[in-house]
Amino acid sequence: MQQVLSNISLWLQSNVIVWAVPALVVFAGLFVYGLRDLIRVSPGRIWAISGVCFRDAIRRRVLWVTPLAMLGVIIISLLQKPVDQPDAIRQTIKFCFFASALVVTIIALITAATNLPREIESRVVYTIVTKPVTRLDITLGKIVGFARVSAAMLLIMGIFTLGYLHLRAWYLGRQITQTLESPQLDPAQRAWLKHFEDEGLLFSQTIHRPQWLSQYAMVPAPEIGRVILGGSQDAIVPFRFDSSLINDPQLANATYRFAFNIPYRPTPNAPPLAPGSPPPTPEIQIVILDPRTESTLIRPEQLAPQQAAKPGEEATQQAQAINLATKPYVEVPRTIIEQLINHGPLNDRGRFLVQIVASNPAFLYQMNKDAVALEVIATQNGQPMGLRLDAENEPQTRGSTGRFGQQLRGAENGLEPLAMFRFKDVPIPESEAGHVPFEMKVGIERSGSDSDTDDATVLDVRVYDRKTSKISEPTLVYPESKRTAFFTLPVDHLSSGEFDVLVRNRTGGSVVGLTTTSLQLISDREPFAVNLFKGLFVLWLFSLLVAIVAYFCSTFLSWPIAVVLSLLIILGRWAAANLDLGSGFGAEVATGVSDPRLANVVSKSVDALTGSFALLASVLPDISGFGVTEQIERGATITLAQLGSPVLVLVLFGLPLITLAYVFLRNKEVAP
Amino acid sequence: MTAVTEPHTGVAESINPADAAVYTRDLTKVYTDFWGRPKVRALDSLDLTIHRGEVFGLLGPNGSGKSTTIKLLLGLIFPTKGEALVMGKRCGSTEVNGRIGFLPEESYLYRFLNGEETLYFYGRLFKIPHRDLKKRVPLLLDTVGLDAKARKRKLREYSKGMARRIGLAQALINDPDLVLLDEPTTGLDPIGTREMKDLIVSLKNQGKTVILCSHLLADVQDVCDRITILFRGRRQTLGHVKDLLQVKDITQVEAHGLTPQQIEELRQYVQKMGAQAQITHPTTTLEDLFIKIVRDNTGGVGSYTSSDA
Repeated sequence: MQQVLSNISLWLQSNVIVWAVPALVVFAGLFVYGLRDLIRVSPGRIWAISGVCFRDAIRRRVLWVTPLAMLGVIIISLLQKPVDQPDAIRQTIKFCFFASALVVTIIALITAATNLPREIESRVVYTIVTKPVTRLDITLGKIVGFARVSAAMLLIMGIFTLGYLHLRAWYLGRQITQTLESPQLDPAQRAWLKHFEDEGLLFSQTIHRPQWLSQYAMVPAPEIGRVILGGSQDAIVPFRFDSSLINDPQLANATYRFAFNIPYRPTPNAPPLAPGSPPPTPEIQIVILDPRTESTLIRPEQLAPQQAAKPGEEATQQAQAINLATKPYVEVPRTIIEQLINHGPLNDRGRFLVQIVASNPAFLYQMNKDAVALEVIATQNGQPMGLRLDAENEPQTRGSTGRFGQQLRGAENGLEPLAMFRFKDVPIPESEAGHVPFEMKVGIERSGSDSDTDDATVLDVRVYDRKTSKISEPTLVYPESKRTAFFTLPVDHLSSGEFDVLVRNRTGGSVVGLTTTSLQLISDREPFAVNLFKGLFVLWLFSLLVAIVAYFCSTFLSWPIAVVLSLLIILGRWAAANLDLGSGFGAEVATGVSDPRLANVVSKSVDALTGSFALLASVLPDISGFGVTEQIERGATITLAQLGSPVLVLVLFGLPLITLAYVFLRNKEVAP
Repeated sequence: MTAVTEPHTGVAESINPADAAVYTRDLTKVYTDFWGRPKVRALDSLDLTIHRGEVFGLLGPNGSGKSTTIKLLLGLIFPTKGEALVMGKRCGSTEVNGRIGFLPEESYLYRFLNGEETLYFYGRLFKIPHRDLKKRVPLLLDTVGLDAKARKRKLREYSKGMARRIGLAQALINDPDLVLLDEPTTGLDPIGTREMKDLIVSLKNQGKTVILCSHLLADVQDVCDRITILFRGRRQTLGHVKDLLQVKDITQVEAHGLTPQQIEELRQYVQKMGAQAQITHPTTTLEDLFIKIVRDNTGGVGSYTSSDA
């Protein structure tokens, strides 16, 4: 059952279906069934109907909601407790956008869901449909009317937002100027505040982020490979299992194990061993992670053999390190193989990550492409038989995960761990000054022994051009924890657009937390107002989608039911994605059921229900492309490609729904 | 050309259905419940031909199928069985709707628009050019008797009579060939009723077809050429008003200026012929008396609707 649902879900989400079904609905509904009405479509009538729809909304005083929303924004922004001035602006942008989105979405939903049922109930529709107006004119006229209402509301909210933000930016800018006059200000903060004094608090810039972030013990090179430092770095290897691993009859009695091929060597300048202590061993541990959330699926101790239970005690398992020198593999129970095959959403089963934790700081570990593989050992006709399943991709090396992301430790023992941000296909702006601006935002932790030191953390940043193999001179950056640091890198080493930014932490005892979003390149700037209105445009597209869904539902349902169904359609996919209802959910629900047969029924029923819900959700609109608030908060320009995503959702989902609404309305007896 | 036999009268008429203003055959409407099971047979095999240029009355008690017939002709609901042609075309089509005007039993209009805005809105639905609307809208408002002040008031502030008037104006905005009036005199005072009846006659004189659906039999009698009476969804009778109402064994003689003596002589003369005679003075209608009094007090015919609210 689960497999069937999964296959249907995958099929529904294939590109052909995603395009073909809406195209088929529109073609059949408009160009075959409704061709006569399509030919007769009159922009004049549509505009007239939309005008009445708009006036109706005005009469119902929906615009009165906007001043209330504005008042709410002002009150909340006055009550906020920002960390600093840029944070105050960010929070204000968030409140303004949240209020605008909330107001316009609710109004679009209620207006669109109630319009047609109210006109039918009040019989005003009698005087419309008895005119030479097609039902297509009526449908399009209503949709245009709702779009006009949303546009008017967003225009009012947009003008208010822009005005209020400029007022706040002016006020906060004065605070910055006053702070800068203080002689006690430390240089890092002064530079930081000066940036905002020069550039302003409201800005919009085109940013480019790295594709990925890796860490190494030293710069990777062909002769040494990619090396990680034991104790503070690890590697992630992606795998995908399918059901053939257990369903193949030849593998009925097979045993499974992860086998490792990880060359290692002693860490140079490692601290001397305590007298009498045993010689260090090249140990690793593995943890199996979910590829989407990186949460733990299988802990190391679950892979260890069970210890024989003493009388009166339960059997226990204890994590054992894998010694690469003596036994470079770990056996995996068949039940865990089954669990991994069934893990994940229906359309993406069997994926997981193997995290190789190099636990001994006395060694450097070389992570090659074949660092880990699954070996399957079975017997066929009495002869031993072996299968090998390689990883899907190369290992990705990285720092240990800390509070702020991957931990990059300060220089110790003559080794300077290295973080590498990979940039690809970046359009580099022409720069008169010969430098390109970058921004970096990191979190800083202190290692325990140096927690009292107040030395500023210094990062050594260089850029490596992959086309020319040139590496730049170091640029020193002085970041503050969770504050953006601004610096530039020489354009000569970036011009190809294919480059790596190499970061080392020069401060012993300091640990810097990094993520792929910690570093960004600024290639262009545009007025804040333009970006703000792009954001409002995306909100308008969303309100249009909501109105279309609500109007469609109202063509065959009473308005309260139409509102509920609209919410389910709009939020269904988002909810399914966030609930993460995998195959294990049924078993989780059935945990408390003591009767095994009943538990089995409950588990399977819940799995079938969640599977059906996930299947249904896969054909609903993906609204993730409509979220732009965070981008405006960060001052990141909304690109044309980002505007394209919501437009595409609107076309692929909105047009078929408009067509269906027209078809339903045409066959609807509008006289109650 | 199709020979159509009127079932009730048995009179064969040579009418091409395409030439009739309204033509229905076996028109049936059965309302069903949620599961599609028949609930009410609102109209049962209605055969009807309404000629172009006549004023036709659709009569019947509540639930007889009058409104259902009108709704079917307008395409507001769909027939269960049978066919209906309006001006020779499938009813409910945009071609047909472009040539008809409809006044519903109550004025179902946007109450947040004023009188002028309402007519401009409906005019735009007929794609009437703005310059034409600028001429036609004031003319229509004058015709239905809404003065300058009333035109600028929102419809929600209108009295019932004013709402009927603006409803009538929107029904005439496209200069229709066929006008369907559902209870047109409901809510109108006697003068308004008289004006409505005059307007119906005037529409007939312009060559338009008028279908009148009313409970007020006197109104129907005054203006209709032909009528049909529906009961329980079936047509009970159809024909010319005069033919249907004529009492064939009574003869009425009208004479002006007779003295009492001459009246007595007339009675005796009729009795000599072996017939029974009843001679009385005719009375005017209450409607005529009311109109006379109002007109005498307003100095003649004119609009009085500004104080109608």
